[in-house]
Amino acid sequence: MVQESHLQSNRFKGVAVPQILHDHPLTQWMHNRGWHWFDHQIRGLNAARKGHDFILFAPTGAGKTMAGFLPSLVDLHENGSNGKLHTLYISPLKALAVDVHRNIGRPLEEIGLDITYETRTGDTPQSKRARQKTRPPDILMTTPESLALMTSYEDAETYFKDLKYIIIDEIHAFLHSKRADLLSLNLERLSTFAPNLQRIGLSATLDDRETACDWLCRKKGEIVTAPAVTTPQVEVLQTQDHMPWSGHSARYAIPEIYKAVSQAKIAVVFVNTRSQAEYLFQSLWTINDDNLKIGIHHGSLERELRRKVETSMAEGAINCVVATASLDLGLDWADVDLVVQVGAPKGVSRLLQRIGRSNHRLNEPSRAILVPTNRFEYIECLAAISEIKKGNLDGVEPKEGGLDVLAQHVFGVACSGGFYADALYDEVQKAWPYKTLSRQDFNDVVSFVMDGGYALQSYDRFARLSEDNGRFTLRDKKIARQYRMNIGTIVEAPILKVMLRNKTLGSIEESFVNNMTAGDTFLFGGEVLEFQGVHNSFVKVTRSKDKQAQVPNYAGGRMSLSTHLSDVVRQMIGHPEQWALFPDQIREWLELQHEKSQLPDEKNLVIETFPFEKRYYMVAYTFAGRNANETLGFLILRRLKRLKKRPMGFVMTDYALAVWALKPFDHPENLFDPSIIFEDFEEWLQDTPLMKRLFRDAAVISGMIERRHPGTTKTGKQILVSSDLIYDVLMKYEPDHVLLRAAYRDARHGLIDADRIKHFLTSVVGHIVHRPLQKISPMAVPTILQISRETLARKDRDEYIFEDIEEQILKEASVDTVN
Amino acid sequence: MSTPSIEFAGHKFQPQLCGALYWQSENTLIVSDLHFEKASHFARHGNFIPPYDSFETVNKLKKTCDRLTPKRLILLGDVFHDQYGYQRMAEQARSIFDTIISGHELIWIDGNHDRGHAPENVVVHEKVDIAGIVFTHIATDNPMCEISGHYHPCHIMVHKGHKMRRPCFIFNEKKIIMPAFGTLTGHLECGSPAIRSIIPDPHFAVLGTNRILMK
Repeated sequence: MVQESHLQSNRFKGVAVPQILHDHPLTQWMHNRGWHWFDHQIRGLNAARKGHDFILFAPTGAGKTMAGFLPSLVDLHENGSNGKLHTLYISPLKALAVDVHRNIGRPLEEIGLDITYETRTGDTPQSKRARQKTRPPDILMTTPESLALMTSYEDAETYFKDLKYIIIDEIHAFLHSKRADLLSLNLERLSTFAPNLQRIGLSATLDDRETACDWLCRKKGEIVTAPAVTTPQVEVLQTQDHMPWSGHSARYAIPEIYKAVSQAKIAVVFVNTRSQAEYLFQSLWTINDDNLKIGIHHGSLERELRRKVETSMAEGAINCVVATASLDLGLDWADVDLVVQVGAPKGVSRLLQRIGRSNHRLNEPSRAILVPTNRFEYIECLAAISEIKKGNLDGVEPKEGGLDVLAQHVFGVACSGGFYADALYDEVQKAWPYKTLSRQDFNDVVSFVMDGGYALQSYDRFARLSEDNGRFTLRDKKIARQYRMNIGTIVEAPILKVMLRNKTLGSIEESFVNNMTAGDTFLFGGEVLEFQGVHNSFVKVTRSKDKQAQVPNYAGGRMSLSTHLSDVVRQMIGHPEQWALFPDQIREWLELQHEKSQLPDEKNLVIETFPFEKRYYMVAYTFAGRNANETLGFLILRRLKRLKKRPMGFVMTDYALAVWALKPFDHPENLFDPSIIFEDFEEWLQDTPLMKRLFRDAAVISGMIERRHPGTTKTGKQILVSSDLIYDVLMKYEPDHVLLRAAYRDARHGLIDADRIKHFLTSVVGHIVHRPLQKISPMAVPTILQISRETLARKDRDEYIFEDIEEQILKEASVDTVN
Repeated sequence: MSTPSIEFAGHKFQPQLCGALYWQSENTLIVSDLHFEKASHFARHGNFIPPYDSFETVNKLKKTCDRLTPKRLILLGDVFHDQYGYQRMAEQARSIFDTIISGHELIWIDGNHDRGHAPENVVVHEKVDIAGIVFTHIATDNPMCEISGHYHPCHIMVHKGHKMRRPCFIFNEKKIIMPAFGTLTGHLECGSPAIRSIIPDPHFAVLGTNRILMK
């Protein structure tokens, strides 16, 4: 229900209701229910009445959706419908569009307003779509992909020219993604069709509101913020057991988690990985003495099962859901009154968004409990809480718009009737992600769309576009079909099956194998496996004779620690005066580190080297996040191999990177010279399957190769061309081709995170402290334990053996007194 | 290291790393499934994959011919990815190809992709019989000894403990199926029923990076 929260909260607070709204039947409808307009709803309306764009930042339950629609509903009432499309609503989820259709529909139906409103998604029947084309509703609710499809129709300009408002929901959920790039380009398209179009954005709270506003709004953009009525109550779970040194299991805290959950009406327990979700779900059931209804929700589960859990949540028919990020976009959280976050939150904004979705009664603070699973995470949790109190959020790393997305868009524009290159370039540059797009890149993309844009040999005789006096048009209208089959920026294939000979061992996230090259070993299902390669979406492996895996354990789906939170953690560790908040065991641990080695801080990169169990170890406290640390690990491994140091493997966390070798490290600080990212990176990148995957995505999004549609099967072995073979040929003949450039750009963020490594290494030049030690330091213990944990075969992971090892390491580090 | 060879029908054949088969006693080079102009075939349908496959493949063929200097050249079918491939071939690649086919005693076997189509003055054969061996594009149940292509066989090879998927020759005493020579050609695993039904008791000559593994 749209305005349900008004029941409990918010008396009318001061911004005057304009006459036009006062006279609107919606106001009467609200009054009949004892509700009032929120300030931010009125402020949004006022901005829109002035002809401004606006973006509203508000927690869920603050009448955000109504605020988005209000200008449109007022205008339609005032001026009446002219039988043209008046308002577009864009949601990142089909299901959300349907939900909003229902919620906005209720007052309209009850009042009997003469406003038509419909959804249009991939599920909309052809006949309805055809009718929507000739007789559009006043308000159309749809997705970015359906919008792209609609703007590619030949009559798009006529269809959209009377559009007055476009409302974009959940902007925070996809800002700075390829989907947002596509949407941003289509926004500019619409503004060309309808120059007076006003943009309205709805978002959960973000740190960098100005950037989000710039992304959405044209010159006259206003930021409207719904004040958080209460600061959420966030605390770290207090437990009986001592804080584990390493690992992510939260086993020590299960009784306390259960207790907290059983006291809530509906609790969501968030974990960071699927295996954690399965483990915790099981553990909670084994001690479920109160017969709570506990459900589970993660990405590997069938969609139907997930929908069931979501429905139970909405109906209040469930007490607790153990979930991964797959629930972040779930729809109705109104009755959730407790969020438990197991594992560190990794970012302040994400945590706040999760908490913010719960508890739609605005006058009561939302409640959240953080459950760190190891010592570093404890500090991270405290850092997050302190930032929430200060109101400091993470920024979102902006990125340049994808050239592959641009190619898709240019093709779409050609389908809608053609373009002048100069005019389209101007239009594209107005889209925020493309504001720095060079004319050269734009031209290359246009030639790519036209005929592949190859320098040495041309496909001009098959060109899709023809050029006449600077105007590009589709050579054959039938080609538009190819475009329409290929719309969208989401390329499926995130999960790969692990195959040992002809046996499937299970599924693995693609991101895990992306960085591996043949011969790397990793642990899976209790065995050390050797990676052979990815073929036809199977991960081919062999059994390895090694007892220890070189590449850190498969964790799957874990987010990287945000740069912002990482800075706060480094700062907290480096300044003992801030340790007062820490529990004794954490404080003593840090004191011991200070005494035996050195504390890392916000300025210095501390590197320790020490011998341990006949091997030489190097631990670097980078706090650079797991993605960047992993890439750095691969690069250092590569460099050590070249230096003949016989590296054995590495392990990383968000906080540190540990490398071990058969020969001692001398001057390990040289390994962190920024040159590593320039010299070794390119070479490594060309070899890593991740690059080929990025290229494949770019090839699909740009339309070089066709998207495989679900349900279609290969009809013959030569129907498809392997994007890997294409990559090899292209690298050889045209290494500077625009699609290779597109893939390289993508490597700067996300899983490879090259920019973050570059930035980090540059920032620590001259601030690298090497501490050669005789034995393992207290702070190295969690990371080194991680090695044992991840390389102990699961089949003989007897708890006693494990504790023995832990004991031995602790003894050696002389920290056994800490507990 | 001695060059690996396949004893077949009383003759000695030398598989080459590039995927060609050399028949020294007849001074004959056999290549199969060049699939020239596969990329431009896709380009005709609006998928502009890089147009360098023919050039890459024909250069590989030229190098092989220059090295082994055969008198006779057998093209074992699917020389072009479709029937109009020769017309589409860019001048640079085509002139190399023309020089190759005019410089050898050419035997052109018809393929399923380019059925009935070959450059002018080239005779297209369904199959030929040389010294008691039948050369044809797709393996038949003919009881004679037969060399064919079509399936693009590949093998999962174990090399220094690394497994990789490599193109291969698959053979027994009656049949040899050749790997594809073309640059953008996909592969079919040797274990697939289509190949197994023809050669139930296979031997392999697997094309590694630097050497051929006989097994």
